[in-house]
Amino acid sequence: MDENQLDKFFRDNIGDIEEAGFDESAWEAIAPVLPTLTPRPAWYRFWGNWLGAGGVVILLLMLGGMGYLLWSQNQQLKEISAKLSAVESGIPTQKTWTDTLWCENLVRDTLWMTLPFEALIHSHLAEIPISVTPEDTVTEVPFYAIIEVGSDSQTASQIVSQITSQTLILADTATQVQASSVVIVPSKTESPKTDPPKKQKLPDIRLPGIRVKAYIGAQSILIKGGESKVFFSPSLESEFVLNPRWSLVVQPGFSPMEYELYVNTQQPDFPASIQNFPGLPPLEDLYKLKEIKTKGSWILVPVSIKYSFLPGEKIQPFVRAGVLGYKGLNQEFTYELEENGVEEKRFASSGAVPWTWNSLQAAVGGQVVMRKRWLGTAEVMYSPGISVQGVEKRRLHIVGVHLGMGYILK
Amino acid sequence: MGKTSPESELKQLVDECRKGKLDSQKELYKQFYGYAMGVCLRYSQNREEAKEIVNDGFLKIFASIRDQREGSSFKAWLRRIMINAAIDFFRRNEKFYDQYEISSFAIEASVPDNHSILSEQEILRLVQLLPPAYRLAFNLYAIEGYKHPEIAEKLGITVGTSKSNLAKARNKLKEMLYAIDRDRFEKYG
Repeated sequence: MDENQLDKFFRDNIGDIEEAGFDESAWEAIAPVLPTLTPRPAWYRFWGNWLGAGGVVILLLMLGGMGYLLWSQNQQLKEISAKLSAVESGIPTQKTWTDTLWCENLVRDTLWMTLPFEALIHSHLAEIPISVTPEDTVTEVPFYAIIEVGSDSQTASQIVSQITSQTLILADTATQVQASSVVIVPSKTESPKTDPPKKQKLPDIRLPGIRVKAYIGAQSILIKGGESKVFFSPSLESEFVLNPRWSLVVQPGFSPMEYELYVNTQQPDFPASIQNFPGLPPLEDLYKLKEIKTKGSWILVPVSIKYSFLPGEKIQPFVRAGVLGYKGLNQEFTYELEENGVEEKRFASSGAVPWTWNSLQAAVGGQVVMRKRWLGTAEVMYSPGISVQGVEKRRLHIVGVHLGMGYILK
Repeated sequence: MGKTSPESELKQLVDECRKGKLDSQKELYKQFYGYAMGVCLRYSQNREEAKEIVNDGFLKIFASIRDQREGSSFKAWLRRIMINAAIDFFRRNEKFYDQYEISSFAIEASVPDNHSILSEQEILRLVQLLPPAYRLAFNLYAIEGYKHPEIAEKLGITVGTSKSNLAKARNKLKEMLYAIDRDRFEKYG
């Protein structure tokens, strides 16, 4: 028997077989997903294949735009610095309204930008599916939990460039221990006990359920000048997936902050919130301010509602809107004044900052699904500045890139 | 009142599926489940795997049913999607297939003692016993009629690998057939 005869044997016998009957349980497995599986709209059918490439182009354009903004703000600041220097060298004690206006502009229009880049290596240690099966069935899965234990090792170089010519380079290394669990709501799939036991399969991430991830991050930050600081910043990421379209995202976290701001008339560099520092000299004396240090911890609770378009597609655009709640704990400020050539150190503590829920967050982005898991996310967020983030992950051992950038108007 | 033809009934059903009507989707699923299973069983190693591929394929069908050109054969379109779903399934699980080897135990356990007549199901079982990469190459080439360059492109492999996988699949099938049902097999020779 030659090859053609062998092929013909199989083609004749099983080339066009058709199963008799219909398996109701197989239908029930996909029926819940179908109402959300909107047939692709015309625009998606036309542009769908270009969405990925389009996203990259948009990201590159945004990077270019951010770069331009950074450059133009630096240019603007150089002008301001030059004018302030001129004011100071001229009549330092008698300020005109124009001089004050310059100072006010500085306070109001301070902009800063972050351009973080992280290379991320994630070793996924275990994923343990647990299903509870009632006695009278074999395959019903009324409860499904996945416990993931993993560790993230991140190396990030973050460039924080404020609109002054000062640039802080933060060498940021973080190790995260991640534990996450997924609970999927009951499935109604039933089959007779005579069926062979089914292979455990991972539930579709898009199914309704609760997903909780806990992170404990330790960050070592090296600030320009050689000073190194270590922060622990735990957070809990919870996503309540109500259905494939709607979910509630809550990510409470704790963020210790400690940074220094150097301010002087030669090189002004401070955010608008300095205006509210306790014990700050009046605005007209602002140019005497030499150095401010602030230290404190924050509890951050971003809460948002997410809506995914085209939940059945590989690329799923989404919008997200919500509020950022925050509370400051034991904020401390230290500032230093220089007057008549004498440096005078002052200290003030503001105590706790009460809960605030007025910071709006809104985001648009897209998620890519592969093997029923999120492969990557990219989003543009207003919170209250604008940031762009992209994460690409591959399981089980994740080697990915986290690219983010922000532009924040104080 | 004239009877509607099966073609026009199918067209109406597809139209309603395009509008996202769940009842029509179920009807379409019901009508073509057996055919889709027939295709997918050849590409899988067991019934459970075939069911999964069928459902993956139907999800694709309902998501892209607007793309199905009116006038073209729905059945042929469905078959292509099922084959692509099977290829996707293979790719997703490729890394778990590395050490796949047919054991004599598997052959013995899968075919009946009476070897004189092999049923359709038993012949199908032989194909299912092939290592996944060989099974895919054999199905695409011998049953569907794809050429090696097409298979190579679809699977992301070289033409040489495609040819090699097909040759190995044929050898394995020959071995199994000779071992099980020499008489019936000989009539094709």
